Amino acid sequence: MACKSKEIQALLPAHLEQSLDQESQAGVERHMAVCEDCRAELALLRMMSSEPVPDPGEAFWAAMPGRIFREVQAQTQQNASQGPRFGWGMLVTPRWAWAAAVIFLIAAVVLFLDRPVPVDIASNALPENGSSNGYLLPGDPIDLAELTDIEIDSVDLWATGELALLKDEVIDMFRTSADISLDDRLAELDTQELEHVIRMLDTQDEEG
Amino acid sequence: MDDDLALLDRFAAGDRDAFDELVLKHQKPLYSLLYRMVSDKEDAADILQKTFFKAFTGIRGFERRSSFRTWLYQIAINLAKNVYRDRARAALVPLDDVVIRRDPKVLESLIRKESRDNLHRAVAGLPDKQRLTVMLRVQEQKTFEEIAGIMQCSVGTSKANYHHGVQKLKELFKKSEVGSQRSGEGNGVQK
Repeated sequence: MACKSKEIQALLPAHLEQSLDQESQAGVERHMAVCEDCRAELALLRMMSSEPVPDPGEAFWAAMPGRIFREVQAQTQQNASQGPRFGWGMLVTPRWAWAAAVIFLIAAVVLFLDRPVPVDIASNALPENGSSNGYLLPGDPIDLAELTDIEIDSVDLWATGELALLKDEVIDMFRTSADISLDDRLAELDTQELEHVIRMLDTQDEEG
Repeated sequence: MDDDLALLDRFAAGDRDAFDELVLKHQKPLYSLLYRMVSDKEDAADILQKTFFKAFTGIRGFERRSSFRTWLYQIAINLAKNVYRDRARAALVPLDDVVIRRDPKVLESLIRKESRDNLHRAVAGLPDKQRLTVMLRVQEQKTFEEIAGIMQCSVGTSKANYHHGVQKLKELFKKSEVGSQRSGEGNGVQK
């Protein structure tokens, strides 16, 4: 059965190292006498801590500082002879450079998003399905070169119909307004005025 | 002032003896940890050398907020982790299976150290942080405060990682022991 005593379990490595004070040591031993789970855990920890590490030998240890020093020196000289040049190493250190780059990037994005957007004339052309959906505003120019054949035919048909109606209206207006205004004006004249008009017309006829 | 920091200052001033002293002081404990992490002499020696090389060539990156020893352990653990992961990816066929089938003499020697192998397997089955924490506490006898510095976490987290790691280790070890008993019975091997 798993032991729930975390306090004792936390002391087991120190118990193994024999670095506990007498009181704690005695407490752990009392617990171990009655807890199979902690005995198993201690056995496992003992097996881990006694895991042998092969010794590479004194010659290996003695040569290590010199070997590393030569490598470090070679690297230092190589860096000094090459001077600063572009490489991954440049990406490692200065934090101020990273901060400046990030600020520059943010500023560039803000400026890009905030720039004045040019009007896209093509987007104002009549859509192919004939529905403007509010895209075409009064006064917006239409680039005829951008229209498809179907769109041009539609515009032509619409314009012909609109102009035909307008033409009929103008002719009617002229005819109607001419007739009505002459009759109305003659009807508004009294006898004297009519006579005066007749005399004037006769005089003009005589004069040719 | 920390002894190591004084040695680093002397080395920075051109004192070669200080350099040697730093390496001699830390090489054995580091090697021990690395060997336990990668279970191979050559790999452990190679990573040890790389650890010191990286530490001394990148000494400007050491901000002295932790001890030099903690910094060395951080570098060594990161380098060893890469080797450990590469090897885990490459290990498509369990080596033991191949050896057991081909060489009966090797089988006998493997049985003698069966429990140790089971322990290796159980340790290898732990998540990275738990495995390293248990190794540092039990095998390297580091305190939880030191482990927190090396693993860059809180003392509470290092204690929790240790506790969960050991509990899981017990389970995995038990399973591994039961598994090898069954496998021994299947092969007609008596323990």
